Amino acid sequence: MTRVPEEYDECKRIVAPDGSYDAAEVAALELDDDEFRELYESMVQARALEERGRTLQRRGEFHFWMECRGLEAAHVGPAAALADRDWLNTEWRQYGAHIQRGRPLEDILLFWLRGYETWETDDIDRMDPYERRLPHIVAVGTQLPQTAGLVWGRKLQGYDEVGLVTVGDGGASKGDFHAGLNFAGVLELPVVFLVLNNQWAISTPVEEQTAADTFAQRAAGYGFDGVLVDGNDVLATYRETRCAVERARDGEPVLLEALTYRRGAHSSSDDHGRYRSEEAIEPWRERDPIDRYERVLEDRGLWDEEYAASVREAAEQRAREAADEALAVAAEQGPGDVFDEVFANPPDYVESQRAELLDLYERHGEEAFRW
Amino acid sequence: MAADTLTLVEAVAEGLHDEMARDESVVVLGEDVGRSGGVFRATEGLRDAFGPDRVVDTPLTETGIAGAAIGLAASGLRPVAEIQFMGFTYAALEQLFTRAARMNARSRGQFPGQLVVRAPFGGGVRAPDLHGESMEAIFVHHPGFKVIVPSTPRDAKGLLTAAIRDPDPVLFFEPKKIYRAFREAVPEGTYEVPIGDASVRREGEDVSAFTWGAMTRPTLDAADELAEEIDVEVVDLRTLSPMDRATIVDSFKKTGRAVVVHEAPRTGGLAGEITALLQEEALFYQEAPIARVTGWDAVYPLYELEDFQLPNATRVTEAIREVSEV
Repeated sequence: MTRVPEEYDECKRIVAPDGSYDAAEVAALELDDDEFRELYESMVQARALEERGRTLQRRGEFHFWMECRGLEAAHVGPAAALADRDWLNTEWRQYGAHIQRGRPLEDILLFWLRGYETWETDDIDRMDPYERRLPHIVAVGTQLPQTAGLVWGRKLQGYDEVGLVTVGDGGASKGDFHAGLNFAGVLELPVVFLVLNNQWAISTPVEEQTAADTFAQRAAGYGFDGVLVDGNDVLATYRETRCAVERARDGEPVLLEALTYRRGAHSSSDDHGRYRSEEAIEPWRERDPIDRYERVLEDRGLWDEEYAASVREAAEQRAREAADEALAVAAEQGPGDVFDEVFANPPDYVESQRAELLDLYERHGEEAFRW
Repeated sequence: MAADTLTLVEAVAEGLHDEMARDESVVVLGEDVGRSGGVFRATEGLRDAFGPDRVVDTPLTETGIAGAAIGLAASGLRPVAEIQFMGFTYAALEQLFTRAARMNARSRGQFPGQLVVRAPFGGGVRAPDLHGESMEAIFVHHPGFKVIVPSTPRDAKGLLTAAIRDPDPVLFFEPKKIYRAFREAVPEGTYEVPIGDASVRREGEDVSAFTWGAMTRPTLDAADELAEEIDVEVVDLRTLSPMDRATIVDSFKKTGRAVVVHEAPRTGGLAGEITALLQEEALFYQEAPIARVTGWDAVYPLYELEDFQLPNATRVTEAIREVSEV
């Protein structure tokens, strides 16, 4: 049984599933036309990138891909609520969050092709907003205490920076969830914890993940507030995160839960037909975050079919170009790269092992290594 | 340079103090490190000297301490985290393995994991369960860490200083059996003992004994006991990762015989690594099988039984005799 936001009286929402909304609440957001459109365009871009990644995985050009369709409002809205100087530590599938922060698409894709990430500058103070993140690492939940430590350190150095860190409903079962929230509460750290409850941890449904009604209610145990928000309403995820960021800036952490639904498979290696039906997904197609938001834009004179088609087309084009570029960059990797940056101050044996591999490669050729 | 006579644990405290005074980005965090000065007093006086912002008593969560240290390092600070006992690092292994050790590689150097995790380790102090572990091999096996085990007060201070200044994540394991076993003159002010250099504690021609931490003492005792009949060279590794292969191999080439002494369990322990190194680099210098004197492959026994677990001078003496007689 999936949970829907409408079941919860306390669930924060601006735009209802049918597209109706309270105009005063939208006006109170004080977004300008460009900002309204940017939320839309980031969501569309995320979906186009996701479709491109899936296609390339099926063609064998990507080995692995994580799916995100249906989750765009829960990814884009919170990212939009951050100041440029704030930090955003996400999990793997949140393409929309990074797009909203301005991260180049090929950089997002290269993570999947190379396993590592790159930054333009070594200097934290000169980082672009999209660079203000820790690298993705697959161990879920571990990013929570790290984000607490990161903004704690920045605070000790006199900076006023908030960390927004996300975790899935599965990751919320990890001990590090507790460690991270408890640390932040006790030390009064400027962290916003966002549980992206998409109701599936691969094949485990949320009701087998927790017996609690919501994740948001856990916040009480840490001495701060929890807020449940409709994760398919981009204006609501934006507003509630913005409020949470303001509170966190004053040393009051906040736990947000965005209630949404993972419509796609967990990853390209997952056959979700084995554990759920198409009918189960249908109610969430009706709650599609992009469709829902169109009516708001249309009423403001910011949306029509022509605009939507041009946004979609441009997004698809950019995704294609980024994928081509990322594949070209990834193809330049050589065997010696295996040893790069394992240490900042490498011991001698790193170089001798690199030399050993390069010598084998030189004598036997690349083909001998492919299996 | 004036010198104080300090115990190993006092040298740790002085090393932390001096480096915190020199570099304001150094912060200390852990359970009981502040008000109480640590259960072994390794952080004594730091909170009075540097305040509660830089010497932080944290909630009781090793994974939180390790995770926060990783974040602190990413922010540009130099955290020194204390995990109260090596056995408690098990609760922090996911943070250490999945993040600390790979932060540099996965961010291509953007966020080096410049942090030190200090943990008292080893047995011989009649402590409860999980307080006697000597599991350094699991950290040596994981790429991305540096692993240090001092065996003297002077080294403890100098190696800890080097560890704090090193840009990589360093595990600094302090042999608690010898925290207060003896005193040594320790230079005042900051100085580094380089990471990656073993120390030849006793020169000899007949047998090489390789060891580290608390086991350095019984190994030296055995060498002294045998001095009339066998000339034993004792090499204290000091740094387990990176290991000083050159010093190990050179010593073995001179003597042709080796005993490796560690209190960690035998199977999968570093004695195997050292033996393999000698096979690779110096097989034709070998005069006798290489002997291992180690803890047994047993869950660490408590109280009276731990005397049977730990190598002692008797076992080391016997092993040296055995390899000498071949």
